[in-house]
Amino acid sequence: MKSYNCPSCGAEITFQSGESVYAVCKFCSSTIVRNDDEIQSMGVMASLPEDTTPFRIGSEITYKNVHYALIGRIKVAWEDGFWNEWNLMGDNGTSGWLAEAQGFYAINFETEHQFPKEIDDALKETMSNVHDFSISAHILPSRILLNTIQNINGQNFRIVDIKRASTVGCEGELPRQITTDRHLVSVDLIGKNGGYACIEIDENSYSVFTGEYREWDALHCQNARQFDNWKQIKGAW
Amino acid sequence: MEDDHSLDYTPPPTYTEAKHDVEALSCPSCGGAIKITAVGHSITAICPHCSSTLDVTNPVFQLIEQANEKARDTLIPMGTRGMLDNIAWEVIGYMERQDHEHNHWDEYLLFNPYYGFRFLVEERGDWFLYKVIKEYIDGAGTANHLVLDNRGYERDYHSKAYVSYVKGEFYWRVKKFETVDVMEYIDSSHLLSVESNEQEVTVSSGKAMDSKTIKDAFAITCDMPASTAKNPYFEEGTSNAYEDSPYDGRLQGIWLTALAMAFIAAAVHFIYLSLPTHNQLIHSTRFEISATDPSAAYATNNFTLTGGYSSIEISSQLVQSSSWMTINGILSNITNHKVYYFRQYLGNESGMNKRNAVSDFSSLPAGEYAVSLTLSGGVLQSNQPSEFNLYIHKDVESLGRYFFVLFLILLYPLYATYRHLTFRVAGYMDQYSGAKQASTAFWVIFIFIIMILLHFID
Repeated sequence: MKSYNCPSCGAEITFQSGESVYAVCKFCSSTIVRNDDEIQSMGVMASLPEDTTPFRIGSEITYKNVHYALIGRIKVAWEDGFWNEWNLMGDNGTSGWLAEAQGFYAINFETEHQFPKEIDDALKETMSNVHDFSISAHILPSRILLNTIQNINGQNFRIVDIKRASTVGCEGELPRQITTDRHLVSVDLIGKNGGYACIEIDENSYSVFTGEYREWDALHCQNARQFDNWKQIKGAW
Repeated sequence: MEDDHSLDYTPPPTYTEAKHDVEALSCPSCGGAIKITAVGHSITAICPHCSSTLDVTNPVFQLIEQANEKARDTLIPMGTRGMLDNIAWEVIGYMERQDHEHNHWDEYLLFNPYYGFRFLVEERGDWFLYKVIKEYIDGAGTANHLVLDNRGYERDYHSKAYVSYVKGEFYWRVKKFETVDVMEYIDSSHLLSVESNEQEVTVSSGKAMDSKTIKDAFAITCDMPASTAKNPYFEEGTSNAYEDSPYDGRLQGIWLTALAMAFIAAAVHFIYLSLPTHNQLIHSTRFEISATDPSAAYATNNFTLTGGYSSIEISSQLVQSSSWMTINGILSNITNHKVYYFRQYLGNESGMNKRNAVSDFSSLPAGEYAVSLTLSGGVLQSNQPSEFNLYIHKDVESLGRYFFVLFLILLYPLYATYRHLTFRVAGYMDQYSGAKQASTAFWVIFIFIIMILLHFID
């Protein structure tokens, strides 16, 4: 954990994870980038649109016996709504993500995966048109089609969703610099037995994430967000 | 401290706390207040005042389709909360859906900020709770058979369905009259629903809910729609009626009992066969065939059947002949003047070699009887003298009797098996193939048994 003072308001800013390079000051919403030991204000982050997420910065979950804290969030918008990507910091030093959309929770980790050349070419071709919203995301280069099966690290996944999206904001700390309106193409895949994978393509690169869907109860979430009008999660009120 | 990953971190209490759990904004069409419950999830809402369709993705609501009509009342009003499976749900949306076979059903969208969404479906008085599952299942939406978590599911419904009425808020773009392909798969107690269009395939896993449970959970004061279930075991108050057939775990016992009874019946039958009164020869006559008079009539002396009702067997045996003949016989009850006709064929011509023929009569009352015969066939043209014997036995062995007893014994286990197989489907999908297959199987077995019985009783 490392602390700095916000260059804008002087309040303390803590980087909990050594991998975090980016944070939003919780007092003045300044966006802070850390380079070596220097920090720099990049501007002010607009407040995130209200939602009914059950998480907040500081919530904790357990996945495969590893305890994770939710230390940051990126909110992403697409044509038909929003989703949240929560930055996870595990007490074993791992860093991961909790994707949250429509009441589904997928824990996932970035993975190095070498796609066959034709898929790799198709993904690179997509990188060049992430800004072109006139091209429907469904008309990606034909090697990446809905319902096709892709093998990622030995596991088969089916492409179930391809959409254009852009980040609308973030909070907490993040492993990379996030600019609002970062355009991306997001490819969602599902595997057997709750398997989840995602390919995120922006103008510079594409990243591959694999993981699993988990039910709320299985997350063993602590310090969850509380709602005034949802006092009871379980049991009679 | 750069590498310290400990979690002794407590966020400031005000951090990202909700300012409002519910977003209240106004309709761009009529100006009426609209409450959004699943903020951040819902992207379409129907104005409760004017029924206009709105895009609520952003706080400035966009009008998608203007309307000016009063919202329809639903059995469960929007905003009602209820506890199902120990989780509190709020009803936030309602859709009436129809298929192209004139079926229609209601779907309520349920929301809980921690557990997400569920669909509560009511069709013809039966209730089902569905949850969308993120699983890719081979053949979902095309195959007749699916496998998920080692369970096999059979397809029993397939149609195009569309939304005919909407109310409330939704996390997708609801479009009235938009058509999707719907397939329902079923195993003993679980349902899989697969909805697909060109864009995506959505799989939901469902289970039947008891009407009383729904009524209590959402404190519904109106009468619940009457279930059209034909199954007498699906009664209000029996919880999870579909979960367990009343024959679950009992079928084996029922069948073992039946088999034991069949064995005892076989033993009794065997003892009966060995009794001295069984298969008694009560009359025999040897006839010489008159070669000169083809229309000659032959008659036995009178014989007496005593006791109550008994069965007899008339058998004939051709001796000393290489020809053939047909016997047209009449068994007459001299006491009550009833007559019974029979015909027998005997001979060894054109590949046939039948020296004995048998006719059975069951349930004959006691009394005086006689048999008269006329003959036809090649034996009458023969130059050789021919003879035949006629034997009359009483209380002959009758397998038919045993099969009739066996049929009675098997009736209940067959009925129980039929009810067990059709239990899940009888209530709500009786017109579909699952029930049809089971009932067809039942009737095939039933008719088969009847045919065997008829064959032996003859």
